[in-house]
Amino acid sequence: MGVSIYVEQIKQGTTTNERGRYELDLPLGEHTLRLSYVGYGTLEKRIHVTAKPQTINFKLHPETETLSEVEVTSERKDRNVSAMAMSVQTLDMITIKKIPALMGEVDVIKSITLLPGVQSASEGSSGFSVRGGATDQNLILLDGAPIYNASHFLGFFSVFNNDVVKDATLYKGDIPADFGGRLASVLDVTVKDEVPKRFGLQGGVGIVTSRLMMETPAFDQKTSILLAGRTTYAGLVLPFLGEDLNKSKIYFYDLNAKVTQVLNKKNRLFVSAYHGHDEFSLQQMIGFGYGNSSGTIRWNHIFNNRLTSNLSLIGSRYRYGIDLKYSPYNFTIKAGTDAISLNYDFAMMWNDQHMSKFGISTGFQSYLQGQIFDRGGALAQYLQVDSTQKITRKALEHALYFTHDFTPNPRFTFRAGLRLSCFQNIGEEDFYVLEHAFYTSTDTIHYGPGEVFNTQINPEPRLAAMYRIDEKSSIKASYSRTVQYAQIASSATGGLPFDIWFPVSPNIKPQKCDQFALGYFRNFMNDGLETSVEVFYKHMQNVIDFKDNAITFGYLLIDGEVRAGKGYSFGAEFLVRKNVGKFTGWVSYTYSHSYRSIPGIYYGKEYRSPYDRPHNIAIVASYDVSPRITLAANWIYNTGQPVTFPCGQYTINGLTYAVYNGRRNESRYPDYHRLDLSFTCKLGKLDNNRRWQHDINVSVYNAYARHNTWAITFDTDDQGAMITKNMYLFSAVPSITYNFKF
Amino acid sequence: MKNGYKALAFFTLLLLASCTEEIFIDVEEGSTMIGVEAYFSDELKQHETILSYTADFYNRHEIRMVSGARVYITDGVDTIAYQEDRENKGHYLTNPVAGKRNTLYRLCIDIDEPDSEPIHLFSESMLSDNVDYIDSLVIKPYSGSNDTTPTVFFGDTIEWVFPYFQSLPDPNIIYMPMIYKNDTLLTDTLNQQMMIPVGGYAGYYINGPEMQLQNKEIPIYYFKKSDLRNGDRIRAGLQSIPADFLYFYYSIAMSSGSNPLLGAPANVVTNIQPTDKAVGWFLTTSVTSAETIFIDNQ
Repeated sequence: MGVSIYVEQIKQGTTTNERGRYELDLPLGEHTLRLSYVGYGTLEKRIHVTAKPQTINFKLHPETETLSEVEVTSERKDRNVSAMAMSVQTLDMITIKKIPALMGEVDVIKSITLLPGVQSASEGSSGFSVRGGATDQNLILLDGAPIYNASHFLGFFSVFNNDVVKDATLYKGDIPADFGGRLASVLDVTVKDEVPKRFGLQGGVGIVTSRLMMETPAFDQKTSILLAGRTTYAGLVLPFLGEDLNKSKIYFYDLNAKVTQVLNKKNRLFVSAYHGHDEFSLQQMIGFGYGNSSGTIRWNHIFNNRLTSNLSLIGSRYRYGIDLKYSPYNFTIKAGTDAISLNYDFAMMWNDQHMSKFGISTGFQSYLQGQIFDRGGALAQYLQVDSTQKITRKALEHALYFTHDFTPNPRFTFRAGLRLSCFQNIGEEDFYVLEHAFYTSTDTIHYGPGEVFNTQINPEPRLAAMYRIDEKSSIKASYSRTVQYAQIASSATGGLPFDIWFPVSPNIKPQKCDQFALGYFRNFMNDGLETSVEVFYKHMQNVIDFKDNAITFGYLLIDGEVRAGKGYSFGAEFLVRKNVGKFTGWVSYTYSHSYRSIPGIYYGKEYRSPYDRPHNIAIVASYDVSPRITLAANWIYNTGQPVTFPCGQYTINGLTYAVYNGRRNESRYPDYHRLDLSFTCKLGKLDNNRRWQHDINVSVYNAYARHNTWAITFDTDDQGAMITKNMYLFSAVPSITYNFKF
Repeated sequence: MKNGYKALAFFTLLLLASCTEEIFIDVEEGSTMIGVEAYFSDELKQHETILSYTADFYNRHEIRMVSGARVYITDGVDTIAYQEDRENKGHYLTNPVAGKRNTLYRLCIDIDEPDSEPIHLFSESMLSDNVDYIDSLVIKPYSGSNDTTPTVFFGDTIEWVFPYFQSLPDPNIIYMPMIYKNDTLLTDTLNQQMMIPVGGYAGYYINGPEMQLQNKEIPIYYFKKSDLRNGDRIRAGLQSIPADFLYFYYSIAMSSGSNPLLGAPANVVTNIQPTDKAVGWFLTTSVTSAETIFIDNQ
């Protein structure tokens, strides 16, 4: 997506769409096409245009293979100002791999939190907030399949194996109409799908994890097969920590597979799969595990030079389980989400001025909201449920979308789109009717299998415009409405492995967000330096939060714990980015606020959302000291996270606890800042034609060992007085990783 | 449940390899509420209600007690007055009296504040039913399935206390044991309590052969073996408590700070009305006790 194609002779060009397709109307005769894309070497090719429509395919090669031989010109030089899209950030793996990483494990999600408008939900978390949105308002896709929990190891790592990821695109606003279902953003992660020239192995060995990826061509270069795996060996240290930990387990693993089949010039088939699992247990007494599985089958078809399509069958599953064997607290809880959808997407390039995209999707979702096997009876009694209760809620979600780009002249481009989404709760379900004045269940209605009992239809318009001021600058504006039909049942801000997704229902309306954004984009230094300023305003309806002392863990009647109201956020994002040369990186600054007002919380008054962190700075820099050595650093600063602190204390029956005044999120944690450093040295001969390439990476996360607050806990000292403790996850964390490629 | 959460939290923290350091946070001071710790049971004894003001968060001074309040309890027929202890301000005592099981009691508190409107607080609680007697108590290492309650936990050998009795058919009964060793109450603070919901086994003979066969025995307390001596007298009182007290108990257990795993902290629940003026709990309970002598067989 986004490869720049420039025709020297007529001084015009275009960019490829998200499937790599492009169209150009050229005069008959000889032309020279210049193709460029960030992280890939520029390709120039002469072509001969005849009266007959032609399909001409190109393949770009990563710059790592040609770094010492050609000058890399990055992406189309003026793409920052010439592309229609705004509020979109794409990170390719070459950029991501340069960013210093926790425990040496390069991570897509940790990397995107360095972008303007994006912040990590908390230290050590894979949850992130986009423009003041909640962590569950991000649609995370792996080859088109939704990932319901993108964390490994409680959030230290994400589910994305960096060896298999081609790139990651984050839509913070102006979300394309073919995406839907979340309010705040779409993180679209794609797995490599190019057919390699030869069999290759790639991997790495770190202090906590190791990974291995194999890719190979097959069947006369018409098939590519990619297999990859990753695991941790952190659990191996447990026996050395004490006899009691002998029977304990800590591990995670994930597997990726992808097959790309070129059927013929007009048809391709992509089959992609992912499976990952985390497992933790202590002395066989308590344990929990969770994991995602996803799969995508996509058939890409070219009808003609103007019309292409993608037919996709997508499935995704998330499951977690908690096991406690501590009589009478002897139970197992399982929960999760299943989704399957069929999407048919079309792209039509009418001519140089008009391009349309349209499609249809339909899907089935099943929310296992809780399945309890209470062997001891205590949990069921506490939750007031049967000891073997299971609640599954099912739904259908459909969408029709159409979007059209119109470029009347080189200065103006407009886009108008509409997504019409439809969500339906279906049986079989014993639906709990809530009396909203008290949020208590007043009745139960049984709906039979397949019976539709709640239909929500929502139009989601999308509008965007770009005005090209001159060759070096442009102004862009966008409006989008997004609607969300499922959310996480957790009042935690960081995102947890045992979060439960649950759908809207007659009790809970879908969340809606109207986002307005305006941006100014300007390049300097012959397009070597990109700058941008974007301002945004988001108004949210039916945004949810949880009542005080909400039971969100293992609770089956979650609707009654939810409170809904309004929210808004606004901000300005500044970005300066250098993509070419030995010194690359970016500086971003975001000023933003995020508020909510929800009846039943803080007496219905407006309060800060947990993601209201006004100042957010990220400095990301990488310097190629020599062809062998690269130094990189990043520094992050965030205003402290809003938090509710107590106003007093009370002691009952010898136990002292904090007293609150009901005002939510009026205080803040200390500000967060951190410096990470890394040093990468290529080993062996510096010959890019060598099959065996390897390097070693030494990094330090949190180099100046700041004790950034993860939580503040209360305790009493020897005299019984209340004390507060700052709980932090990391001091300085050094790591060393050996990477190889064959 | 609380222990389950503790274990889960401990394990999570172990994984996170986190560290802590004392920190000072800027908190609002000066606002107070009335703290109510009220207790009434079917035991014939003086029952106590303690009234105090909530303190500033970092308060290191004496707790300010609420003196001169009018406190009484009624079942709609009889009214029992609490008198303030002259030696112990803020502590209000009844004459020796025993409550009646399956009776709803209403606690009323009137406080005259010198600089503001009088405060009227009230609360209602059902004094739950209970078994009439416990057949026996047994102290032993847990001998059931070895994948359940451990006999060794972090290096300590554990001796569990098992009561044997015919439970009531009501599935909502929850027990909060009071454990005495040689007449010293060991569970004198809430965080030393175990909550024993027996809902799944209502009507069972608790810890009897049927439950043993299913490896579903329910202990009510545990001792480190090193804390027990031959001949120690162990007494267990099973307090039957209302279900909402269990919610209060867990609410305190979870109110350990500001934690991204737990969401926005809020006041611990209370059954004292109005809730914006008071914290604490009015607990009514019925008690049935049994005693045994610890004999070390090893």
